[in-house]
Amino acid sequence: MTTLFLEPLDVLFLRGNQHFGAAGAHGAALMPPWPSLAAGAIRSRLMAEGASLDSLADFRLTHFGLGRRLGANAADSGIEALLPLPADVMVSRETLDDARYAVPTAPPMGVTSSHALPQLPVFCLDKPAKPIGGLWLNAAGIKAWLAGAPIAASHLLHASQLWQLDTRLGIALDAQKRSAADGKIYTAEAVAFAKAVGFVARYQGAPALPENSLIRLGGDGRGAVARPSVFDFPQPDWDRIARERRFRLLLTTPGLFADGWKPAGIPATLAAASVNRADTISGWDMLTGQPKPAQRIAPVGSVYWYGKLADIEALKALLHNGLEAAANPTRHAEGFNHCHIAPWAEEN
Amino acid sequence: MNTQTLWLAKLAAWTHDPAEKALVLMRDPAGHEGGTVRALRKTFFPTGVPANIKESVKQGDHWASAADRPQFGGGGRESWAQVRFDQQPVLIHPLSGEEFDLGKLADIDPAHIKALSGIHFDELIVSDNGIVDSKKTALNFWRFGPELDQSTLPLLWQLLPADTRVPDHTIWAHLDLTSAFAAAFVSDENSDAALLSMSFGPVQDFIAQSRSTSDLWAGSHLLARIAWEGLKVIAEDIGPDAVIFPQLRGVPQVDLWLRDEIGLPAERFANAEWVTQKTDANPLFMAALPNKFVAIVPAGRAAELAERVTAAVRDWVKANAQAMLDELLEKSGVANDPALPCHEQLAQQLAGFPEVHWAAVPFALIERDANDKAAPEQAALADASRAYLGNSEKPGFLGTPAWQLLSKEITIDGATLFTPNPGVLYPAIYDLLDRVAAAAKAVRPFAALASEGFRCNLASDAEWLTTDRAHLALPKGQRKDTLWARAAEQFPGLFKKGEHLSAIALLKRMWPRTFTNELHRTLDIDVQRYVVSTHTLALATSLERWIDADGGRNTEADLLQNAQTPTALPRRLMKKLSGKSAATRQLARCLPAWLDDAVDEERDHRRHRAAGLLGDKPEAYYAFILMDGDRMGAWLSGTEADYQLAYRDTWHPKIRHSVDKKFPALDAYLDARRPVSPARHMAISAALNDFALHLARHVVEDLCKGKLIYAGGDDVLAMISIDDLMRCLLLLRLAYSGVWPEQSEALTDLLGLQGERDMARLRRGHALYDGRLLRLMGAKATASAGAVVAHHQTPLARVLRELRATEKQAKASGRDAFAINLLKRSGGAVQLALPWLPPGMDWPGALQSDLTGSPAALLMRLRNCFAGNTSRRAAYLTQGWLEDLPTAEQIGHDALRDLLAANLAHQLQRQGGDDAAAIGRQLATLACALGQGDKKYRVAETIRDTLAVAEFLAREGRAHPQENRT
Repeated sequence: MTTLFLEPLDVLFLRGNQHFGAAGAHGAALMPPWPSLAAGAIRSRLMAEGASLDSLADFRLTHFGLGRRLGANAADSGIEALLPLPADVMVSRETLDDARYAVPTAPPMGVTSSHALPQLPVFCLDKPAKPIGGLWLNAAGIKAWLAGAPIAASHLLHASQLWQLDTRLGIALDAQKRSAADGKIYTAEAVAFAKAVGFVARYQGAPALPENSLIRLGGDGRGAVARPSVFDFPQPDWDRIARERRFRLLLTTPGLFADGWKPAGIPATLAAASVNRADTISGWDMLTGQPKPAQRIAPVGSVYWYGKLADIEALKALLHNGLEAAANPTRHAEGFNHCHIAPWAEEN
Repeated sequence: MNTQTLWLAKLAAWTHDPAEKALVLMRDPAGHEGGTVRALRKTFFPTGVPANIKESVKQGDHWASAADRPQFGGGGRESWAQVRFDQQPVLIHPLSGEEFDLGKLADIDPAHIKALSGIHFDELIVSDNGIVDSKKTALNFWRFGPELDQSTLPLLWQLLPADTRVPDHTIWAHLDLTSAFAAAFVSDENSDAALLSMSFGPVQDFIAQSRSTSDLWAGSHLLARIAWEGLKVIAEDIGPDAVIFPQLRGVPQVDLWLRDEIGLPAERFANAEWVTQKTDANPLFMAALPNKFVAIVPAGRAAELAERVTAAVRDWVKANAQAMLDELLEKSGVANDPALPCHEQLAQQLAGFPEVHWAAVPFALIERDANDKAAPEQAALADASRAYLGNSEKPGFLGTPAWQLLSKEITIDGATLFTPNPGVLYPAIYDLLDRVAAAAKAVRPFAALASEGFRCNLASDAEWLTTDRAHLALPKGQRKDTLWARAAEQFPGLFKKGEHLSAIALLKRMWPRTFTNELHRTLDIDVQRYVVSTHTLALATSLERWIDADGGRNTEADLLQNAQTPTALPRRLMKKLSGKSAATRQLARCLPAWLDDAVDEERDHRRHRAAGLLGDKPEAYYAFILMDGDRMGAWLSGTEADYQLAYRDTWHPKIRHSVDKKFPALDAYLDARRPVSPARHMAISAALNDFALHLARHVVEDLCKGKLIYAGGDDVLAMISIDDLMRCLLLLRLAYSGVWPEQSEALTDLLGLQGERDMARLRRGHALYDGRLLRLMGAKATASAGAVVAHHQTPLARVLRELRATEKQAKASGRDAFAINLLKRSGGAVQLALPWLPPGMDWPGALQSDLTGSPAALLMRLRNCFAGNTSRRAAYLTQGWLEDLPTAEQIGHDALRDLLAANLAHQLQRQGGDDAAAIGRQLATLACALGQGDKKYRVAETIRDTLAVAEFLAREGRAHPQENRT
């Protein structure tokens, strides 16, 4: 298992599934990017180091997300992983001191709804409030979430503390004249990371990269330096989960499931969920020279509440191996379908 | 229960109180129930009202009254508690609480108004072979009851109060609500009603997938149409009055349904604008329904109705898309074999579209006794609400002072003034509904779907529709014989060469064509081009100047010969052209396309020719505006004191004074904040409807050179020519609240409105427009707007993205603000956010003056300075020294203000004279006041950005010629 902190040396062009072909188009950035970004970059660097395709057959990205270097020096190996605020937590005050968990609740007698599951995830609020978007959990916040403990303002970061978008202007070239094409101006969003902010990637099944390797990330092949790093997520309270026979499942990378929004193969009964609208993943297959299939995914941060846990060992294996691993080995190796497991949160 | 009973119940509800009640009460010897309604009931129920209907209407009336005026449920017969409306007619704005004393109405003879009312409603009865058609009659009453065209008091008729003692809601709202409750009770096996909330989506993502303004319009219009197709299920089944939000009365799409599908007499609609207007100004072109509704439904049928709505909208989408695909195949010469992959693709891509979410909460949660008296404790409702509203003994409304007062009987002088019934608990049911509906959206279910190969040009997550799946692997440039290559040849104006579309993109792209064909069939409207392009809108600034300057006499004959393709122009420009020569009209309409169609080598030449014709370089910038009502959640939930009225404020002044004198113990009750009520919801929805359907369009398209893309609920999305940007922004804001300054001349001059004879008259929460009196949101309601100024070639997707961010910036600046984002072609950007009013000033205070000192007006005056004698260099020179000034922390706020005022005045005076200097001082004062009051505003940045925006808007030809210089 190798853990890397990928620290950008420049702005990055991180594009999602939006078109950016014709002159005059606008290239929107996708943050956080898909894990395949890191899987591709690391494997390319390994091949540049001499690894063969065969030797990378067992490569698997087991974690990918945003991270922050803890020490003042670039060489410091201590990092903290960051996660987008899980969908079962809501913050509405600018002061960020009113975070609360959604509680799965059976609808009252006579109350009906279109919700797809027997229980609704309910944020108990004395007044209606709008959630503040673009929040992230720091390491202490992740620890609190994993314990189902209260989330404090000190656990939260605004996305603007981690990166800024910077629109860049470009001019299309006339292929014949090799000069600027008339009237064909395009714009693209570049992601400018805050100091000491980058990506955390962990992989297995392949050798470690040399220290301070340069890798190419995203469009234009902008540079990032990959440094070996140390971090670990706290383990969930397995005893409590076994005792209560229920748990929450949080997607830490996009979920690509045969059933669409619902993961299969979980040894428990799905009671409630908070899953936003589907995103789409795609990409370019260098081998075939064709686009990869565009597939609908459950977004990072989706939370599922399960009860009636049948097999805790199987659950532990899922945490290690990822969800529906066998169904799509390519995407699985690229780091999709990873999750955290945690007990149900304490009542607010 | 047969459906006939439901419609008869509605007729019984509509005849339980006469519309003219306020004008005949205590004046008609027969009593208010002895006049017109008795005669109507004899017609509808010759053998008497059936018992089940009678009971449903009685209960509906009691619930509706309790929900909207809980203080006068069954009591109030004492003389101090009576108001003769003809003697003391007072109306109260339901949202602002402003009082309107109408003087005396004694000259309205009760016998005369009764006769008018009787004739009016008799004429609304629809019979078939002498038998009353109860459904058509009930719908006719609902639609046309409030429109009394024979009266000399048509405006008052619309606003007649349900109760002269609590004159903040109309008799029409009361009749609607009684009818809705009665229909629900009579058609439910347990005589119970429920509130049903439904929403459709996605909204932003769907609209944003646009390559052109036509796509943008189509996305918005389709969503509004989808909402109507869902609402139609409710309207057909239990009546449009069941829908609390949005109010459907007078919505053109609903009128079309009433005429063509229900079969109401066509002559009733003959003068409606949607019938008479044969151009793209027809209001049916407006996307004017929000994507959410709330209705009162029979409790036992809530889930069934919701499922039927869901099926109806999805079936409608699929049927339309299928018809479009069939036409595409036919015109492209492809045999329409069901085995073609495009059919399966279409089914897969549209499965689950649109997203539909719903929730329903029954009133049965309210405990009541056999006399329909609500229990004070409400244990079941409290239990149901706790998980959503707080784990207290009395969550939500049950814990408010209002319920503490209203949960008990109120007696005065031994007489029962008020007995609580379940209608009083409407706020608790609504609150719970709102929370359940939000929780129900927590999962947006989707099925797995993999899209192969290259994908749709509009929706990048979907395959383009194909007749051969092998085609999907063909890269651009190799797609010679695809369905879309053929389609581009067959539909040259519709599909661009090389464009390949998915099912949803097909739906969006062909919707304008489908819709106009529909209008051609139903209304004989033949409109070919109606969505103004960004380029045309940019050019509108230059075209108007050209028309105004020389009457468009300079038309250059050879140019006329070459420019033959017409484009849609903004309506205001079309009106200006109506008096011009045919050559002028043709050139104005064809010039945009002539410039667009130029190939590389011709482009410069044509631009040069256009500049010669127009007298200046053709304008290349235009603007988008996104305006949104502030705190709509709080307005609808009524949980914040700022948006509530005290009970005292909703009472007639006579009652208020009597109670103050006689019953000082009721002070707490009078001061308690009134909770949300159905009539309040209806008033909000009606105000938003009137703003969206009438005023927003009037401002954007009649008073400015713009195109309204969407106006529904509290949202407005519009494109506007750059010279009209500031005028449009300020007018939209004033129209939203329905306010205008008392001293109006200066603002009228500044906005260049002197010649606008048909302009709506705004005043105190109302607008008089086109012969109608519209009740708007009032001075307490605020709105924030974002505007993006962009080059017409800037990708639309980026402009829309920036627009949303700019509107958020306005909200983040403390709301009741506007923000402008200049996206310069060269890559630079300037962002400015300012409040509508200077710090420390509220709207009632500001409206006492002339508003020309408001930040928006100041920006306009500064722009006019730069467009006039003041050199624009002043803006650049100021930027040079601005950053070097000390800060307020260093020298104090007052010293900084004086320093800035002196320097800005000096700078502007050097470049423009005394008038400019005065504006400089005002700008300095404003920026310092903003900086002192709110850390979000930085003094130097505010001045820098205000100057930069004013300077940009003042560049050649952009300042409106009619607007006053300073």
